[in-house]
Amino acid sequence: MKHPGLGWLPIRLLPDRQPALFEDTPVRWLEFGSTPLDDPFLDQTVAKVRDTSPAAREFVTSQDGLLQLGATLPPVRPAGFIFHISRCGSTLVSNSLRAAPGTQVISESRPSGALLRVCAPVSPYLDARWQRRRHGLLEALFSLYAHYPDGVAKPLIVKFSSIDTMSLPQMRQWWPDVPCLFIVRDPVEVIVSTISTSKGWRSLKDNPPLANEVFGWNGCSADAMTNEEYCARVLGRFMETAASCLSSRTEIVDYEDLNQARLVRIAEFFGLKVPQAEPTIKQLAALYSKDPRGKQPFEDDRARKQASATKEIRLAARTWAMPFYNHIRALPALL
Amino acid sequence: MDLSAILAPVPVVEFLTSFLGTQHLFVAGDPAKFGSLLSWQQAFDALGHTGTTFTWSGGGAPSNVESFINALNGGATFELDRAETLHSSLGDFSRRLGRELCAPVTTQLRAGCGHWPELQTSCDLLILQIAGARCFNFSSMPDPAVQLRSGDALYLPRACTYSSSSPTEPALELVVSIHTSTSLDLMRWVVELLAKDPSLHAPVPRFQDPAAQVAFVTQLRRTVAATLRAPELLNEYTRALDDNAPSLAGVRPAGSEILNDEANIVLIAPRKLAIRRAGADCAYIVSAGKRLMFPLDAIPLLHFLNDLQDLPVSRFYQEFENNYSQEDLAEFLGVLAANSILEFRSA
Repeated sequence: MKHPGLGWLPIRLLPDRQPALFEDTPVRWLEFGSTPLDDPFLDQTVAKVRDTSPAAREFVTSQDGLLQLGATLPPVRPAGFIFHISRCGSTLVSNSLRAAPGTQVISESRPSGALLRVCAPVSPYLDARWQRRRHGLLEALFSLYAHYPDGVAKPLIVKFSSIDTMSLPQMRQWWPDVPCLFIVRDPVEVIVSTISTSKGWRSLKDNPPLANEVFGWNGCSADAMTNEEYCARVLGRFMETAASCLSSRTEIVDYEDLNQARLVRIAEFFGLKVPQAEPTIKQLAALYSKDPRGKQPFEDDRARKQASATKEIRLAARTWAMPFYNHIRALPALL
Repeated sequence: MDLSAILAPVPVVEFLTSFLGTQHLFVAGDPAKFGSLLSWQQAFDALGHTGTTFTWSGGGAPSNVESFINALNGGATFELDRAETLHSSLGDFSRRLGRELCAPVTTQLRAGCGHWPELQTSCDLLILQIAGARCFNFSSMPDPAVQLRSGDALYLPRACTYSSSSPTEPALELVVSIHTSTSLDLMRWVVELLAKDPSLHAPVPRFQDPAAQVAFVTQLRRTVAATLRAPELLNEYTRALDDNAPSLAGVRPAGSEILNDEANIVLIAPRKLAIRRAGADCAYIVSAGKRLMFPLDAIPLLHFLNDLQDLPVSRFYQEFENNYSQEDLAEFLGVLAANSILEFRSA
């Protein structure tokens, strides 16, 4: 069967805030052509493609359109998933996996993030219905990614945003056999990195009902927390959630243990062949992973972050995050 | 019977993406495949139905199905347009196909033997061979001839020219016309959109200098191009088509229109219900151009009906008995029935 739509990928999927109720929401597509998806983040490639002249074409379909196009391709079993707690070397890991020939690595795609967003239950019938539908939408998305740009399936690694960790248990149910890597880091260092930003899960502090819904907080509310407590609690929830669904196909790695040898072992964990790519991994480890130009050198900032942690950060981390971090580091799944 | 059953083993998604509107498709099937849709007896019974054309030079009207088939064998022809009004199962079949294809669907019954004149399809056709055999000849296709036997199906895109014949035995077929919209239909809708733009109500500068006239046409071209370039254009057009799809007139068996615990609920809306948010606490659906508002807690009921399409009333009550009273559920069903979203049939 001919595979229509090659070279096009969904870039935005904005479900309703209650997606189980309303499924008639649009999906925005962009014509990537054959542009390699090799920037650290998919959003960077989107921006690059949109900046071309003449402008890349865009198109809007319904969610059913995404399901239909995904169904024209053979289903794929992803080669691996990467979840993490933020600012912990996940981008370095995904960049290094691109060194394995023929591998498609998708880093923090907005459509998959939109589909993984945790929502409050509505009714048993609709919740079950939405679970089936979003599973189908994710399968369609993964099929499109894996077959991009030429219709030939490639090993697919999907790195999710840190907030998607809250859906890790569901992903393990849907894809129990897919190798899954969970990356952690000393919560003090992560909080120092994230406390002054307002992006991603940090922005949810301004929407306490949504934050409570996403992180499953009962009896405490984001608006009553300091920034330090909020960050620490979120990191604790990430690690608590990951620890609750570990399986034989899950490995954990700590940022402080990420080195060239560990990166090669991670690739092998995902079944990827990297012998020829080892020199490339060494080069990648020497660069700042988030720079799309691949020029900025990597700076080991652990000491600087530890030194700049305030006592409020240390207290919050000790109270709300370190117990989960220590527990997860003690698990046998630590790579 | 739905599209998946008609097209098996060709997947519906392959038909929609690779054949519909572009190329013909022949699907071989089991001889009894379409037996549940129609029989020779039902075709004979339709002789007295409004809209039937039975042409026979051989004598009086046939008195039974055997003489009907003999008449067809002797050169009689039979056609019934809008066959979906013949009985409710054909009506349901047409509605279901219309929902799956997101296009108005009408059906015609045809029967006869011998040669039929060359025709050009004015819309997409799906020909279901109920009984007998017919040979189709195409003047401009890679396969010049296709033989349809009982259980086979043939899809022909619009503007396909063909002739057909049933040389040895009468053929009975159900011809499904799929009235997909064309570029011209889309442009008519775009013109309606553009009519809301005040700048397009400016007069044409017929008597001004060339520069002014060129500037006028350039601006017009930009305005039209901007509308045609909008990424959401086709999605919005499709939504408008679905919202305004006309109801398909059905056949309601006498005495089955009343809601009772023994009845079945049958969804008769022309399209799958698109449930949309109207605000923080309410939603709406649009069917046959009419917008109906509902509170959020009615949405599980709408989705349930949308998914099942044909179910006993008792099953509906049982599914939601923990959340709603039976009186409330009955009132909800009554509202939908009054707006031709569903109807009740005796089981």
